[in-house]
Amino acid sequence: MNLRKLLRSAGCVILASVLAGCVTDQPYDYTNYREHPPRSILVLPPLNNSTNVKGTYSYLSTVTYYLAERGYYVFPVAVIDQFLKENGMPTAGEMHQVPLKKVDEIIGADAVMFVTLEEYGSEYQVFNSAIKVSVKARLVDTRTGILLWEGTAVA
Amino acid sequence: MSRLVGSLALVLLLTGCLPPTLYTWGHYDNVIYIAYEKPGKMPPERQVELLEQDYQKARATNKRMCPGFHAQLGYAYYQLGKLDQARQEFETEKADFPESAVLMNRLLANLKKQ
Repeated sequence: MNLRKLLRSAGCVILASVLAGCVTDQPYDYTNYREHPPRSILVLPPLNNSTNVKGTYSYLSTVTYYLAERGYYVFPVAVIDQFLKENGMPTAGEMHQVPLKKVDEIIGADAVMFVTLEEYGSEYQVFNSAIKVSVKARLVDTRTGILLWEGTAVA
Repeated sequence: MSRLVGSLALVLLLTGCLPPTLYTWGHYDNVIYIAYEKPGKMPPERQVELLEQDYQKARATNKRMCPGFHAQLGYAYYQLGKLDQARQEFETEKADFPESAVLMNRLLANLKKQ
């Protein structure tokens, strides 16, 4: 299983549970989501807290696919990335600090998805080495700042 | 591990996390993937070539292009200095997806300044 496939599965799990709300130990409380159902989602480049530098951006195309196919308008991730870089936010860290009011004004997104890669790459254990990825995501309403959904996936 | 695989499969089944699909994606996600992983292999010229091919094919089938497709194509034209084509693509994105209007209008306004 290569890293890209792994990321795809993690992306799939996380997004499937965002949008369909199935297969979690505790049912997720969708009250906030239902009160502010977004039509458009801005997916920011992922923050990378893992030790593996490569591959974080490849996550963007995967996330776009799954969200868009569920009916959300997903802003063009590479265009957005460039747009933010040209507007004084050269890194994902800075992009994750962007004021929501600005996102509303300048981009017009209903919600922002913040993705953090916690672990990405091989873990060497005693008997086998496993490629592992762990992803955290938060979906925040742009106008109110209310958390619509959050979740973690490990694959 | 097998539990993980099992629950993954279940999620896939329950949510239909498999193709096909609302939109035509063509090379859109692949273009973005390669542009970040191996930028040298995906210059704007190549992006235009691939995405225009996709669009021609899709027009024959009458299926909508995915969100962001025309914006990405427009951006590639912009990088090549082809501003008229860039403008046209941003307008198409806006017409296909009114949710993109705020951003597209901003990009169109920036083009006017050029």
